[in-house]
Amino acid sequence: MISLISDENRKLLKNRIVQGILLLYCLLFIYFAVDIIFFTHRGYDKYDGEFAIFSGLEAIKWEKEQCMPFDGKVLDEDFLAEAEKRFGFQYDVCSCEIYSVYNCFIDRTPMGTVYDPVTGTATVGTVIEGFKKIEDVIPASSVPALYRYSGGYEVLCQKLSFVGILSVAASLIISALVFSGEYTAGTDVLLLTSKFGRSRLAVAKTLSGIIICTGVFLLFSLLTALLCFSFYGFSGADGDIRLSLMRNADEITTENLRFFGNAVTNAEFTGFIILVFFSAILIVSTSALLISALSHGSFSALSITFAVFSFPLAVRAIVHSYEYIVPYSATDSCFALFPVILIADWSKTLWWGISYNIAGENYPYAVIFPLIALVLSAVFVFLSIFAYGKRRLRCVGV
Amino acid sequence: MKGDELVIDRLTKNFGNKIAVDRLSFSFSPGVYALLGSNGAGKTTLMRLICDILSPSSGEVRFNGREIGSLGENYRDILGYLPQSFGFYPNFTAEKFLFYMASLKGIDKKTAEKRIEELLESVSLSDEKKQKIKTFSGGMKQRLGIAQAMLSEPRVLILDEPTAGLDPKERVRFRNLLSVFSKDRIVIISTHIVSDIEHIADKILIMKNGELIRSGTAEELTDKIKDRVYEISTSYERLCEIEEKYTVININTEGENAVIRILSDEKPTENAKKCEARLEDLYLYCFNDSGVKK
Ligand SMILES: Nc1ncnc2c1ncn2[C@@H]1O[C@H](COP(=O)(O)OP(=O)(O)OP(=O)(O)O)[C@@H](O)[C@H]1O
Ligand SMILES: [Mg+2]
Repeated sequence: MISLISDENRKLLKNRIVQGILLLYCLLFIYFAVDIIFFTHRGYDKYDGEFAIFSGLEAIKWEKEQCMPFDGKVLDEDFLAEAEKRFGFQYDVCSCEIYSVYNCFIDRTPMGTVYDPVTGTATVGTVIEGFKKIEDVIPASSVPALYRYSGGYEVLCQKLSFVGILSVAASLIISALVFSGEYTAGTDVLLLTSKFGRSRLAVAKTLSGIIICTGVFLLFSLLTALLCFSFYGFSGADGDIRLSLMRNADEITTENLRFFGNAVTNAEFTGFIILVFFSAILIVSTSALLISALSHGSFSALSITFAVFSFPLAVRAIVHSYEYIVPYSATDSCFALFPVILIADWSKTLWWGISYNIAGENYPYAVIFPLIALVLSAVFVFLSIFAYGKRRLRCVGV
Repeated sequence: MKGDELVIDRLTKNFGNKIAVDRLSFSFSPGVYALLGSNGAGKTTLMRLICDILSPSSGEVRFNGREIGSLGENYRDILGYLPQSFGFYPNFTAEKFLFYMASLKGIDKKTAEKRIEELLESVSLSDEKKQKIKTFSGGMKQRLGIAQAMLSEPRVLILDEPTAGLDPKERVRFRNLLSVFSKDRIVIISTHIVSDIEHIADKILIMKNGELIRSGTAEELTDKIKDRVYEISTSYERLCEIEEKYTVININTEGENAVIRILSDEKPTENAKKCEARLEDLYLYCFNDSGVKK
């Protein structure tokens, strides 16, 4: 069985389309490397550990109306001078402001603050806005939130969402080819007379499809993690997500942040991103496999898969048509041109949203949804094996 | 060792209301069998039924007394099949492809290595074994297909038009390969090239409209039309006249005249020359639309 699977894997990897997809992964990785080395978050490392000290690990605790007292001291003199000049704040009293200003200062724009590195402008107003946002985000809580420098995790989560989107799209295409490719190539008839029965071949093919799809995702996630951590370090694993991965959390489900009753650490959050993508990939690839097993050839398999996955998307697009007609940004309108990206984005957001929303206060229960994905995938796998196993020569030319 | 026995018992296959194989019964023991029949006669369908790729509408195929469906893996293990039309993995090299097929047939790597080496040699693809299949010509692919079918040294080998697309030299090579290979095995080949099977087939099965209309050795079959084949040299003007009267097997041009080969119970004309009956005559006789019934 293992040799059958490895044969199938090898065959898939020899497929030109699959090779093209792998090339895309490599290009994405190169982009990450270039982005991280030359463009991302300049100055992060400069402030690492020297930016401020915190008494103990706790940094923020909601107590007063307008500010979050912070039991620590900003050490960085450059920063203090710069901040004093720009905003005139007393930075050693309010951690929240420090956080916002810190973010402004090092060329980031979380929480609504806008800093223009070209003109060097950022107004107090925008800092206050950011401040307000934190107020919304962090409810009154007796549990102190931990501030940690967590550059590695933050950048990784950002990059992971790209890897994830590509992987969902890739698994859609790769899985759709697994069975249908044989029909189109006319090689199915050779497999039929192989010693192993059709069902066993179907098992091997299904597993190989899943292994390739998830394997490529995990591999590139790992490579990306290595890249991010080697530049920004591992520190911050137990830091509070509310104080670090703001950009990511914002982008994905700003709303859902209020469900974080319990503190979620950066490491947990990163793991969860991977889990969510993993389950999205499972669902997408197994359902594409089923379509592939039932189809008459690559072309029909691919088009049916696309149709199935873009249908809910189309509905969403119609409902929110104004979003697509008047896109927010140039990148959005670019994305709108590529259905695959939208499809992937859709499945990602869906899982994300469902998992977070329903998990609510009990973050660990979010794992239930990946579990449901697993069960559903198992059903799809069973159906594909059954469909392929039962099927006789239908597509091979007479 | 007692020879294997492959029995086809009232085998029928319909596609909708089209009957492709019609209540066909036959018993194969080791030897080379040739399936002859016009396009659409049902040869490929019959072979697919024997390979358990198609399931019969009724009737069954038994190998050594057991229905092949119930034998499953044990049957596929001793089966080699060259389909009439199939595809390759274009980015595999010939060698890699055969290794892949070997692993599909459950052959261990060591045995496979040796066997693949031998087979590539016998189908004269040794020099091209490292080339990708997409660079192969039609005949080269066909030879690779033959190699693939013989890989597991099958006891039942089924070749659907193996010589299609082979050049004369390769055809001879194939015949030699097969005559060595076929010892103690059941080999069934289908072909349209009558001269191929005259040399290698022990028995010939002629199919028409899904039915088996004749079977026997080449001698047995040609015996039926022995002493009935004549060649007449005649002008083109008289051709129609003769065509109406006799079953014309072949017409050859020879200068101003036509040399026609006909079937007739008695000597048709004075200048008619009696010829030795050939398999081709029988074939054309059987499949002559205008001509005599079977
Ligand atoms: N999958 C199918 N669906 C419908 N009809 C089919 C199918 N396969 C074969 N047939 C029909 O069955 C008949 C026999 O076909 P088959 O391919 O067995 O002929 P053949 O003797 O191999 O012909 P050829 O010499 O052209 O290869 C034909 O009339 C064909 O149209
Ligand atoms: Mg045929």
